[in-house]
Amino acid sequence: MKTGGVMDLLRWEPEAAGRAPVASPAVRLVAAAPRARAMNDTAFLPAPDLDAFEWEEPVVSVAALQRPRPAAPAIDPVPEPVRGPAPALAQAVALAPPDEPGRARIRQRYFSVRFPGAPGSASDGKDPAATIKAARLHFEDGDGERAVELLEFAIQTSPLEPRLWLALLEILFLERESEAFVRAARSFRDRFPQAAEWAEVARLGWRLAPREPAFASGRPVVKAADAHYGAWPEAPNWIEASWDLTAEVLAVELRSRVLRSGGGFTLGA
Amino acid sequence: MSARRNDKPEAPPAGLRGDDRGAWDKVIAWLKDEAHHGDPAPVARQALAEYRRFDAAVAKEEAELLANPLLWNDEEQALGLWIGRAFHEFTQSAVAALGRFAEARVAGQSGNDIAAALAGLAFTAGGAALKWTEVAGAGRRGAAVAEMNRAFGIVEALDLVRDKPVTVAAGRDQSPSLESHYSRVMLLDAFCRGNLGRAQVAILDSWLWEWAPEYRVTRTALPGALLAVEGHGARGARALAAGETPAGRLLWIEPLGEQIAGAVRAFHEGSIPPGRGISLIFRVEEHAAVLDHLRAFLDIARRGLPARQVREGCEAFVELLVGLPEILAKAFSPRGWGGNVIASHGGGQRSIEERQLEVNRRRLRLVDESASGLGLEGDDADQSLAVGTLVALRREDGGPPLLAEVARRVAVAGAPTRIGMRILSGDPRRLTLERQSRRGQVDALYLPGTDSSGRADAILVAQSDFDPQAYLDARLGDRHYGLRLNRIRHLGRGWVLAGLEVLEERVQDVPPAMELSLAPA
Repeated sequence: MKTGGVMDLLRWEPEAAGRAPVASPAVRLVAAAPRARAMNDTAFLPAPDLDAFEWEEPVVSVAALQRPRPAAPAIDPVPEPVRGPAPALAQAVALAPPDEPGRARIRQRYFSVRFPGAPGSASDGKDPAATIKAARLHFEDGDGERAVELLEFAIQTSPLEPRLWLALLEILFLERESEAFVRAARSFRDRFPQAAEWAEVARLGWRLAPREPAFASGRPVVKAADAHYGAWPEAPNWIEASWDLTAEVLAVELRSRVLRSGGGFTLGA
Repeated sequence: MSARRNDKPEAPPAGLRGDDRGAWDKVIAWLKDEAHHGDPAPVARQALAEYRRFDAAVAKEEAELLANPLLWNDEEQALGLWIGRAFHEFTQSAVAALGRFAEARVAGQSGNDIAAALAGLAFTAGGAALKWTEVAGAGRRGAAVAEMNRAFGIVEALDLVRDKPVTVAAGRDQSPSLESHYSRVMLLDAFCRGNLGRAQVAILDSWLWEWAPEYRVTRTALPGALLAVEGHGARGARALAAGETPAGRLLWIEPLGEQIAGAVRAFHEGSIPPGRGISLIFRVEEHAAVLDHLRAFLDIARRGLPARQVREGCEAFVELLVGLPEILAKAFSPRGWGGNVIASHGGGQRSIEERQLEVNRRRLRLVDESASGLGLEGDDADQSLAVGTLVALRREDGGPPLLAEVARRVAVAGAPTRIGMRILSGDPRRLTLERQSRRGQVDALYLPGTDSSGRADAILVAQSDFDPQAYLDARLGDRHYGLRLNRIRHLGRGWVLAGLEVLEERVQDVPPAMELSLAPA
């Protein structure tokens, strides 16, 4: 290690030769933090007990700075980033990645925060209908990004559920997310090489990414067969939208009655 | 108090509580004096050493202060403000010494490592000053941004933009390039405008340390997300207006998209990014809220800011009802708003109810108004107006009441608190819903959307009343509507704005045998 430059002030020296520079001389861990529990339950635990740590004055080697500097170059080379010692707190909370129950808890917590109100059964893809419905509602609310994330979240735990993949592909198509569509389509084909829906996926994909070789089979053989005015007439319904419009009619009626019934803010005096 | 130059005060204690701060004040004042009058090289060494010591002392307090979900007490508030100010003074010292060093170097001296170290210190301390000022709820510290711009101007002049001095933040050695340092503080400043909670500021800060090396300060309009940065003054980074031709100094932050995706992947895998540091102690909710802010920010940086809504300076007062219970109790009653209370004053003895209403009245000055929001100013004593609080407000000089949410709150010492309101609806309707599964009513607000199909309509209920599985009955005239609140569109402070689906319609007062059900097939 070079010495003598002002940069030395910025480095932590290992406490002894041959010892890995893992402990800051300024902040020394004298009592183990509750590592396993902290990592198992990171999101819910209070701050680590600071009484468990002993804080010391930083040790700065000023003497090294007072050595004669080399004549030239006067500037020490810029050192590579030193990703070394962390303070006791950081060490306490970053000792190890969460174990499996801890990961599950963080995942579940994240799910409930990111997709509030979605049924718990939608989180793991074990109930594809619930997951797809929750995703469709986000999509209908104009939040396609959240819809896609919900499906990806569920696919992680249920990667062999084709309905989730197909719903994901349809939303990506409707959102015109061509790169993400291509990635998802490739993954779908890898997992379900015999899927009957592949022809439809390729047909959608060719319209988003016509240069993608995987979608070559989706190119219409007869140009006229693809001609249409307005909305595309042959879209799939992998997001499982209801064909029954009764609920929509009732929503209009409810709105009309609520607005007619008064019950608004009073103006006061 | 000002120590004689070169008469260094005694080493301050490791803590920051009570009298310890006085000792630190002496050291910081001495450093400032040295920075303006001493030789830059020794000043750099002293400043770096003292900064490392100070950073360690702050790290000791940081977790306790930031993880506290409650309002700070006076001591904590004073400490938070003092830390922000102390970091700012470190910044000023570093920039002053850097400026003097640059002048000396022009005269032929060398030693760019010292200059780079001073610049690194300036940016690190400047970022910490921005962070702690925001954490303490003291408003934006524009002076810190001005110092950052000055420092980066010198860095560019000395051709040190790519230099990577090692500095320390929250006890951890960091060595991004000076370009990354500058990007980081400009972004931090852009976010620290009163709408992030304490934990959220700390989380954002920890992410930006990791992410900033991928951003670029450029004068060429690179594709993707760009911010304009004024190279001097206190304005900081700003979003380009839609259609504006990028020019001058630009901050390219397109990698933020992939960085957000990376953070999301980490949560999907069950870990909290970046996997170390203080941010691990905060709740997942706080991380998710920061991700939402980042997504919205990135979207604006990519698309440009839409044409600004009409925003007029105005001077009027508004009356506020705070929280869903108060709104439900008063906003829909002719006697609920304070105007009636005032009107009744001349009538002699006031009733208990009237006196209670008066006690609860809140008046704020309306200083800014647009189609989507309001800017208000008022007394800081009312701490109930935290970000996310639901309010109903009414201009005292007329105009229809509005339902709104506190979107931003900035308290500056010695000045009125500024509160930004996001308008939720100008025409909410009170609705009473009957629970079918368990007896009882749910008092709710029906917020009609702009789409006449009802697709964008929503129901606002207390968070404790939200149950996505519950069947709720709304009676309107002779009709009953079976509803389910099937998703949350927006989560406020104790309230939920939910999307709804109408399950069925039934006609009331029809003999059971003839009851007509219009339930969907």
